[in-house]
Amino acid sequence: MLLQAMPLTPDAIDAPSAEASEDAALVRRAAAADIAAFEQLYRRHHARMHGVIARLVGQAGARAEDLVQEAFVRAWQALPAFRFESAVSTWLHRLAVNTALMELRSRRGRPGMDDDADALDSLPTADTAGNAMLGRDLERAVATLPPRARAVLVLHDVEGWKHEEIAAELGMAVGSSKAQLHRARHLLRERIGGWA
Amino acid sequence: MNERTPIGEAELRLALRGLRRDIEPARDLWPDIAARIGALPRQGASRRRHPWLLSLATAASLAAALGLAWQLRAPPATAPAMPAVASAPSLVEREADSLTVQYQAALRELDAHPVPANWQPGIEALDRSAAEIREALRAQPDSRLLLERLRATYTRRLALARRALYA
Repeated sequence: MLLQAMPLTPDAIDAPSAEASEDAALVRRAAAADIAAFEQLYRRHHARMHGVIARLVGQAGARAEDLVQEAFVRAWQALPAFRFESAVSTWLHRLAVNTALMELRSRRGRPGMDDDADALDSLPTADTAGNAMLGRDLERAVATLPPRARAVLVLHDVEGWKHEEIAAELGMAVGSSKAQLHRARHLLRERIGGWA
Repeated sequence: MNERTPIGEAELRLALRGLRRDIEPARDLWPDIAARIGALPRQGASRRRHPWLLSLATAASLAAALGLAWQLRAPPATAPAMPAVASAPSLVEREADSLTVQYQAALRELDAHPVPANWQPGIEALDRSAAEIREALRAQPDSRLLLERLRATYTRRLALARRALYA
């Protein structure tokens, strides 16, 4: 399921055409085993992929960096099959999301990794509410949400995905995605004090 | 002085959207990526209908057709793709095989006990996940990350089976 074809998202429409064309040319070269072209793709997209992976796993650092590497290795392998039905940036973004979600799923069940009580204990308290809506505090609060709720919140409210896309990616019903989002927002508001 | 106002739903969502930003990794990841893809079986440029799954399937069937365990390219510190050479199964692959044998043996003992019906979807999801990881490992036989994922998935699956003994 996580390895399925990647559909279009609004990013495909937003991508500037010149940049998209350059990406497409690089993909064609890289698909023919031109590693220098692939390095250019890496240079152009790594920070964005690292950004979404870090948000999904809840932190930047070695874990997110490993997953970025993993995503680019997968991209290299999948390049010959890329059919240009979506923008390269969209495809890479989806690949990054898939890689992070696979990692989150494999970690489910480990102590502290998917336990709501543990996650709640580590959330910031309302003492920080005065500054909570400053980006970094909000980022920290998101990072400490339970993994599944965090994934839904990040994909929907940060990355702009639709519930249908999230549900397909996470293997859940659309209603469950909506419920997880509601829960995640509630937890977030509660923990940042509901005030700004 | 420190007056606070309730944050509205729209405001929260706006603030969340503001988190969407690029984040530069602490180090240059390219050298490691280049080393990893240099050690992969060489990919053909043929067209496939289902991008990711079929690329894996084709890579696997190509290796099988040639009668090779795996094809490796030379490390590409500076160079593009090099001709493939035959190689024995990687250490990671052997570990994965050994892990799978041990896992299956343990599961045969534990699965003799009935599992509550409402656990079945979770068990099936774990089995599916393990199969996906094994498939990905066939394409990336040196991926320690995948090996760790496989180990975690097997562990979780066995824990569920063990818990069923007392359910």
